[in-house]
Amino acid sequence: MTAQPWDAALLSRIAHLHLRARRAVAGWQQGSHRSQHQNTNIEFADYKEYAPGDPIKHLDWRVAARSDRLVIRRQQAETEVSVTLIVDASGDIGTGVPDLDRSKMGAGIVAAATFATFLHRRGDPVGLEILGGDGCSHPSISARRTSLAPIMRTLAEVTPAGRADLADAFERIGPRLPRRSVAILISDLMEEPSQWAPSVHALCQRGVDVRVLHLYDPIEWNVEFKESMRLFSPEGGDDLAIDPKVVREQMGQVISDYLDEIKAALSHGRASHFLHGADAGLDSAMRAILRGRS
Amino acid sequence: MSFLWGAPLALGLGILILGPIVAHLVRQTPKERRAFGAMLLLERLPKRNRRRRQLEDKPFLLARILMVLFIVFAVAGPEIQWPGAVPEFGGSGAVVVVIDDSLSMDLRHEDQGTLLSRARAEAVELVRGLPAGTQLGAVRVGGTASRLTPALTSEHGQVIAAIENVQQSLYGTDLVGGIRLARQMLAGGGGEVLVFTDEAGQGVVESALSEIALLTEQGGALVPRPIHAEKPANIAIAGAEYGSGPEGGTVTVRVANFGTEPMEVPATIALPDGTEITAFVEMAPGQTVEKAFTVPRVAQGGVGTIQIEDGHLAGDDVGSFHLPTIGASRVLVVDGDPGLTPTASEVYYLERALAPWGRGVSLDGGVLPDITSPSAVSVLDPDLHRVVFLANVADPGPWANRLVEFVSDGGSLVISLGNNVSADRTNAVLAALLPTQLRRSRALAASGEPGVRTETPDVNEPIFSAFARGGIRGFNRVRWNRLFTVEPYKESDSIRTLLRTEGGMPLLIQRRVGEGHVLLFTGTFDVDWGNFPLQAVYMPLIQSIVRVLGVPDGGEGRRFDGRVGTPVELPVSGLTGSVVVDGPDGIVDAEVDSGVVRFTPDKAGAYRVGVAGMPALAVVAVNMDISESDVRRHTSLARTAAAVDPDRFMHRVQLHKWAFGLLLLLAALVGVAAWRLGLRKEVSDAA
Repeated sequence: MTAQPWDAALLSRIAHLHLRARRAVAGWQQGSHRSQHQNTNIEFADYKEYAPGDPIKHLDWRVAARSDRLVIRRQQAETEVSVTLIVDASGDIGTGVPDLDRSKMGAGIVAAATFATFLHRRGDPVGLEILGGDGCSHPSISARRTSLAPIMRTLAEVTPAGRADLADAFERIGPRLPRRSVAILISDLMEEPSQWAPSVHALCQRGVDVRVLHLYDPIEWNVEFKESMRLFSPEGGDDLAIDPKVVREQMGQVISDYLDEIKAALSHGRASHFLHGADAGLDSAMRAILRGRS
Repeated sequence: MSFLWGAPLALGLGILILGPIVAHLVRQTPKERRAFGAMLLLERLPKRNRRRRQLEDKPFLLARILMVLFIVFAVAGPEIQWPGAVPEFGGSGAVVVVIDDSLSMDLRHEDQGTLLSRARAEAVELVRGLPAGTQLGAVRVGGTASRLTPALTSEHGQVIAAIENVQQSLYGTDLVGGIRLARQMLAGGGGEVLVFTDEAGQGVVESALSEIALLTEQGGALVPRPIHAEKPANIAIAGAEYGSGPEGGTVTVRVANFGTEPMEVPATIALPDGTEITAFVEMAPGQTVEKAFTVPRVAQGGVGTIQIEDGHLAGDDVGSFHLPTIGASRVLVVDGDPGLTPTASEVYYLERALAPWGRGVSLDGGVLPDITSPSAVSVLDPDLHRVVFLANVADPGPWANRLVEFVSDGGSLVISLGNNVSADRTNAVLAALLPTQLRRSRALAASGEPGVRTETPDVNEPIFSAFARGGIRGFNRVRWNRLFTVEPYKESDSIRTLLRTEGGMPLLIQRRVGEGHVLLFTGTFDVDWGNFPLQAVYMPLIQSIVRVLGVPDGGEGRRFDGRVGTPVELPVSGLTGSVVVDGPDGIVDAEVDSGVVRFTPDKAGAYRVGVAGMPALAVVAVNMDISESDVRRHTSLARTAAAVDPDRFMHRVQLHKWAFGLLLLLAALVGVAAWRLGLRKEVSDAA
């Protein structure tokens, strides 16, 4: 892992992006998120035909003078939203090549650091939660706007270890997250969806906009091994001797079923899901995460 | 196929074959261990696929297995055996040759002659090849099995001559009898029974299973020598029968195709009067089809024949069937009261009842009666007339003797009465024919009053069967003002009352006389004494009387059916001359013993039994038993015999040890080559 765990080139590419929540958030601090309260600030939203009862002070007199039509000018306020980055640092995510650019853990760290930097620059409060992992002094940092340093330090310190226990983590973190905030989960989701899906659903029910950056290693998913070998999980369990040729024939169907289950679990809570290969550039995944679209 | 192991140790050694497989799998167990972050997905794989491993270096593994296998074989020297062998013969010193000379052996195969000729030739050649001291016997199985040699003999020339003299029969296969005779010839000792047969005929081979078992039990062995045509084909007459139908009825012929190709053959039926009708019969392979031939409205009774044109087994191309006399029921009406006007005579009504469409179409339709006066006795022709109506004849005296003879020979007489009839005179001259004596005519109702009703008759009586579908109630509308009374009589098998009035007066009385019948009608067939001719039941009843009584019971004699090759026994009595049986090819040998004529037909067709110069007493329609016509291969005799004695019908091959040594060396070479190739591949992969 390099000393600067964020991708500066990527930061520059996505600097123009606006993080927009799918739903209007409450709050009055100005930011780049659309507010549910209209006409309280300066940004123009749209025109509306005047109807009896509308406040006369919102009439656009210029339009009335030019076209002899009465229209109401509507503005939209800008607010801020707190974002919590939940990073999976379990043992499973640390497998593969020890490379920041091509490993699942590296991609997760870079993505988290990039999100944090970007949001901090925009003035949004950012928090961090590390699931599993080892070696970090502050695995849980609440969302605030004061300083980016603790987040960066934690991301630089953490090494993959242990289990993520997504269900427990969501139940533990959920109550601390403010309503109508955003939670970005960066994980390989190597736990049974049926176990953690109810916790995600409960979180969404509380108004938290959950967005999941699902990391995977193409070498593992495609079983790109030449020889038979014994595989083991860093999180524990028995070794499994496999013949790559035999396993490869069945893997496609297993992955397809697995992804279907994950999408079903997340869409049930209206959470967003973004699948990202560890060896690909983070650009498109970041854009999708910020837009909040699967 | 099965193995017979020379040494029990081989089975123990066979376990060694697991060695190379285990070694190969152990060698393939991976040593490299690697962290894997997607174990969740692997755990979702089906368990058998998760643990399955592809065998690598298959040629090398195969070579390893073969090496061990060949070592085991080289030690054990196994023997391979599988069923289907033709057993050897001649070693026992006693051989019985069974020749199938049944009908199906007459099948020809191109220019190789009949199957029988091939069987004879092969049997003779086989006998000539036997050692000089071998005891030989011969049996034939066509029809009823019989010995060709009385016992086993060492005179081979005698046996060869007997075999060469076997002639083609037209009968079925008595394989059971043949094997039994062969077994008896062997006299309970061992020996071989060589059966030359085409295995044709449904169930023939299966039926011999018990005899084969007995033969095997006594130490003998059956050696099948199948003789087959390359493409067995045959078409046979499966049956022919006369029945009702348009015109004069229908002869339904069943023709069977026992070949493997669809066939179309011309079929010709010949009626007893020489009329021939030809049609083509189309059949799918293995199919039996029915073809209907329409018989003319007038046809002579007797035995007709059916002939098809088929190149195989001429014996079953002919069939025969009984045909009754059709439309030739010639009627003679003796008009005793011509009357002043046509409608005043019975003839007027009888003519219209029998030929309702008139004289012009009578030849195609109804029966036009001959009319005569009481004086013209000579008109009665027993060969032509079948029914005589004596209508209101005052003095039947001149007719009496002729009528008695006529009825006794099978003719029928219907006596109707009337004002002309004298009871005394009629009773006197027709006493031998009348069911009962006449008394006198009696008025039943005054003029102008409705007469006495007629009772509903029994439709089960043949002459009333025409009313079975309806109309029987019409007899209740027939009324009588006057009828002739008769003396009381006793009902019996020969005298029965068929119709009465509501008061119980007999109206129609039947009596059997000799071979014929007499019907006494106590009324009139005109309107003098009642309204009978004016009622709807009149015409069908008159036609029914003529149809039922006009057909002689026996046609040209009593009718029988027979089978080719099966003895026919006919009861005869009172014969004064010698019995002659006239078959399709002329006179057939017959014997008479205790009033029974016995003969065996050897060909399908008509056989007339009688005394020379006399009408036939009986006629026999003889047909083939077509079980032998099915020339297709049925159950294999070898397979049936193998079920009883499987060891004799096994192919056996002893696998030599030196061959396995050679194979072992070859497998070792292949193994080394595969191993070297594997090493080279590993080196290149490493590079």
